[in-house]
Amino acid sequence: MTLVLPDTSKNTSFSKESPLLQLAIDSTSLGEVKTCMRKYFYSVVWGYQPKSTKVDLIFGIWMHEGSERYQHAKAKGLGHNDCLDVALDHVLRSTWNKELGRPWASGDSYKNRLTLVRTLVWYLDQYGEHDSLETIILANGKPAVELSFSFDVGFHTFSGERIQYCGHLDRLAEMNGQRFIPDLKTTKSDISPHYWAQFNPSNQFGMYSLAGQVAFNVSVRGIVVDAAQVLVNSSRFARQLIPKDEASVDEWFRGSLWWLRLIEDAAKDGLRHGEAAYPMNDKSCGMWGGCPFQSICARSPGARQQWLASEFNQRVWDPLQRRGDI
Amino acid sequence: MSDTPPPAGALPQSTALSETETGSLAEAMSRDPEGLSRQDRDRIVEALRAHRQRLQIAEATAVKAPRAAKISVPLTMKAGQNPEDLDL
Repeated sequence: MTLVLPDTSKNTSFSKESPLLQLAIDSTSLGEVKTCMRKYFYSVVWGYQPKSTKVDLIFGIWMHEGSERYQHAKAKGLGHNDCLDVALDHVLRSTWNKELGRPWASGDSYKNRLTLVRTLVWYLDQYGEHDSLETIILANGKPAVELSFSFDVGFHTFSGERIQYCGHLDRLAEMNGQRFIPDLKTTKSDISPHYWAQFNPSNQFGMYSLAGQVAFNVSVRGIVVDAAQVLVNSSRFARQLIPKDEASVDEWFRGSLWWLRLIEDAAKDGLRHGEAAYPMNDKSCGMWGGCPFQSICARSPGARQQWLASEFNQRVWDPLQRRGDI
Repeated sequence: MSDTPPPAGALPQSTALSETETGSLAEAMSRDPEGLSRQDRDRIVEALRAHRQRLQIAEATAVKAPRAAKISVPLTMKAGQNPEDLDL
């Protein structure tokens, strides 16, 4: 069987010395590694993604974008209704298909254009104007909104390169002299104790808390999660603090180094053994609604590439270039 | 579009968008946003706020009703609340 390897030359997050080695790692990439090395190989290294974009993902991105536009306008001193208009205008334009001359059709009764606009307006009405979390103003005078970060984690690879963590924070905010990282989540599920439990411990928030300390030199007390439950005819909201102290952030960081070694070993072995260097975690296949690659992994190894090419789209997952972690 | 709460004791007929709201929203949202004015977007916001208000009244009424369905109250931390008060 001929060994077929992915071409990562256009992905700036990968090493030029060792083409399967990812050097700039976001929480999405690290999360895939923790879930299943094979899933990481297919989705991040190869860049395969299901042909239909997940409604949950795009809905979340637009909610974030609207909220960010609101925060930027608020930092400029605009009033609530004016800020809301900026956010609404952005989301209405983003969800309009210019080519087809019609609005975005999600095909989902819960997450669609109307429920997006409704959820955004209600959310900003509830948490926008009188939010006790005040966005920090950076030294350059700009609000700490939509912040990209990347920092060296002190990990030297076999190729003599260094690994960095990277990503984007919604914003940095302050309340009663303490710093927090707010994050917005949308869900169709009930906002119950079970829902909140998924965020502690959390790979994404572990990295975010570390980024607050290292990249922005801000000691954060935790992540404040705003959850928006999107129903067919209503939206509900809840806010919860996910506490993070220095010891737990340090624990997350030390644990993450163990996973980096797996990435490094697989990148080295993968040049000779291809996907065999990225073992499946077959206990993860059915989790979180099912892995999109389950049907691929169920096939005989020699047939997989052909099926991947026909069943999936290929894109470059480059966390240095794009936003992830919604 | 009516923002008037229902008479005391009356159960709300529907928490869905009213016909006026639906018409107003549908009309505004079916148009290319390039052509929408600030007034058009304000009408969208008004319709959504009215919908929310009616929903809140309906929920409050349902809570008071003797055989009302259980309604979960998901707000664990309010916008102005200090996380220090949560004993975390």
